[in-house]
Amino acid sequence: MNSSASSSAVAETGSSPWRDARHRLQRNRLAVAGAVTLLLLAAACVLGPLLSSFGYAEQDLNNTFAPPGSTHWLGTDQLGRDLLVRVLYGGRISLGVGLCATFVALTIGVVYGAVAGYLGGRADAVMMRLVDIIYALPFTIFVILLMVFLGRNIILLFVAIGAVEWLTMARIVRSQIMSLKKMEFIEAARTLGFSHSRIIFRHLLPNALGPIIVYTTLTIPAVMLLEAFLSFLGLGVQPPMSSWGTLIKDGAEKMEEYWWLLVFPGALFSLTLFSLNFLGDGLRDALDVRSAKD
Amino acid sequence: MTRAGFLCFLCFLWPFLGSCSRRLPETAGILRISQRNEPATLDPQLATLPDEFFVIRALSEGLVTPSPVGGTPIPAVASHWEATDNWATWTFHLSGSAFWTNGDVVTAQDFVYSIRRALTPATAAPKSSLFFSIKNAPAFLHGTVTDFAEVGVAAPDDRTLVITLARSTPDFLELAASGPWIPVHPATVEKFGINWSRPEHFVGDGRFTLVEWLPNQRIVVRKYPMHRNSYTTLVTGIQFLAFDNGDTEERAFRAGQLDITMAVPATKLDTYRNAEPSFLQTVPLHETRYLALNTTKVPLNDVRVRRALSLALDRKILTDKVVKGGQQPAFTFVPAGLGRYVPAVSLTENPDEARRLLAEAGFPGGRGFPRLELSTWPVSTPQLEAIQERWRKELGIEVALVQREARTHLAALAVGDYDLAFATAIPDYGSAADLLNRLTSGHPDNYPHWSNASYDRLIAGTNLTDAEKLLLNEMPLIPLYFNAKNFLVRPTVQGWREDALWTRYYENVSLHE
Repeated sequence: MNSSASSSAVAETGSSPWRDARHRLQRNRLAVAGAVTLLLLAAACVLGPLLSSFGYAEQDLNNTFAPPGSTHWLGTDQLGRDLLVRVLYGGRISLGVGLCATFVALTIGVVYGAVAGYLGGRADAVMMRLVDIIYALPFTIFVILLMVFLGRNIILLFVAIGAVEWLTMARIVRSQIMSLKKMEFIEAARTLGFSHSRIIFRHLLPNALGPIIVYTTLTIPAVMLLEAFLSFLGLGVQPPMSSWGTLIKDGAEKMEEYWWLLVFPGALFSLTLFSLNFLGDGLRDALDVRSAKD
Repeated sequence: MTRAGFLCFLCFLWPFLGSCSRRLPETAGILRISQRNEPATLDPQLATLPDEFFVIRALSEGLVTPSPVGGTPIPAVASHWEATDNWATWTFHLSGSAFWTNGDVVTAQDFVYSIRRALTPATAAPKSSLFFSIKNAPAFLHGTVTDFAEVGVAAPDDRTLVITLARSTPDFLELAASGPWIPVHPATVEKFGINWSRPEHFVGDGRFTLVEWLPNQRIVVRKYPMHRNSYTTLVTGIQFLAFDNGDTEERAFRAGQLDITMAVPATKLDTYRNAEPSFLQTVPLHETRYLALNTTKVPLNDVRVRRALSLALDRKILTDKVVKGGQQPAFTFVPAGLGRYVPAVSLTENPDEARRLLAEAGFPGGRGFPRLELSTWPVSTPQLEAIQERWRKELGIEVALVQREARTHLAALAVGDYDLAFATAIPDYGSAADLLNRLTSGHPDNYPHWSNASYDRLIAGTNLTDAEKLLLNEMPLIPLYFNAKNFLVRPTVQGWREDALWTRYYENVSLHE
């Protein structure tokens, strides 16, 4: 059996589930376009402000509300600040919040869900009821309260958002672990006397990675929306810093007279959200064969 | 469904269909004005906000009232008066044709009662200092004089009120025309206590009566036809409608639900200037917007730092390019044209001098300067961002902007829990003394918590010009600009006037469809 299996593997030039998934993803044009757009946007946000001759807080009070033109490509705002630099700078904040908060949510959610699912029984019941309770708290008010108590600090904003976004992740991971832990390879690991943590992190989690990756890509846009929403309410970043949320808020107030203040940040934000969602959908189709459409 | 069944169904629905169309209050001949801050009270001795006095002045009037064309106050309940003893004794003669809305005549005793009420500690009148020029009034409030007969207010008969002041006060009429001097009806206050100003109990002596008060929605007043001047009341009533922000207010105005707004969102100013200039009215205000500097904190306790912060600014570009609503740059603390006051000095702007002073104070180029917080209420960030950037560029110092809810902001100002704060000073009556008084040691509105014995002495000696000179030299606050009020008025409204002290005039205002 061993020899025939290895010979067929050689004939198929070493196909693995990961390689299959990558092929499926590459065939999904929307997902690829999303990934490329994201990379371009991220590069622009990181490099753009370095290349521009304007600073994000640099004011030119004799040149306020300038429409898009050759010096200021996207125009200027109420204080004569270059909108392009502010949009790119805002992108750093928004993408940064998205990645950091998602990382926090991912860490908490995966560990919590895996432990609950693996232990089962009473421990699982208690841990999941706690999740239910936190779920029941009004989400936005919870974040606002956190910010009020912890003060307005951009790092805390990441953490606060991450700390309320992990719940769904915990549930998904738990259900995956519960179905996996009944399987023979786990029985085998137990029989070999491996420790619980080794079983969870070396044997169970790698097999649940597909859904985790998919859900992560879908969490990032949700978190970015939440950051935009908080900034829109005036709880986000502090002036003169900008994030896409604060830029859109300012733009919405002035859109009737100065359309560029709303259109450009709004367009970039929408583009990012679309790209992330397309990529997430593509990843789900590629990694999770059972739920794929085709 | 059969036809009969359908009809039954309709009959059943009918009452609900009726209630679907939201019942709007009667609007014919009714002026609809927007309000911003919900009045906490309509009691003249307890009110503090302009929004409260907008309504109170429709419902009641005092001895004299501000003149709609400016200048000296004009007769209201008092028909004429004399001042003797070098403006230290004032005798008011009541007309006898002024009535409370329950039919009683307004008497001199009613005024004595109201003044006594404002000076009684149990009333806790927030504006009791407006009565302090009366002889022995502060002593009565603080309990060192217990017999009200020693206070300089007397009513020899029903129609004569004699007020004896502690010293010569030529602009006393301005004081008597201020909101807190408006009288209350003694019997009503005695009977209902704190609840007397509810619509079901309210008794005033003005040209309107209070009909309805729905908190955070509307206050409705109706013309009082028995008022002696009711022939100049040309509307049948006024609705004061609550709008908590300028954007919703402006949308309501565009939708025809409002005749007069409180303000115009700064971003809409240009639109109205270009498209509908006839809707837009601008009234310069005697209101100074300034930065309070917490003089109890390092490094703001150093006068060199305070002066450097002021010298580094460019007020003209701030008003012309950022605020842009007809505001005037403030180079003094007291607005020009307030009362009879003529300022003697004016602030200068000089970034080089600012840098030199900052270096002298130990922060050359802004090095080592702590990161201070500039706190504000949620209206004014762009102008403060401009100041923030100006200081960063000219002095090399960083400040952080902190927005707080308006009440929290005011509370923090009062207890000194801030570094730098955006604040505003609105005089209660047309006199520079009222503004400058606020910077005396221990005054509740002394937000910089500044204390200077020579300043206190100058104010006590009513040497206002030198006091302001000292103030601008010591710089516990940085005047930024004199505010202006921009608001929208529908062309159907005629004869609408507001003045620089937030007084609205309701006489001779008419509606033409």
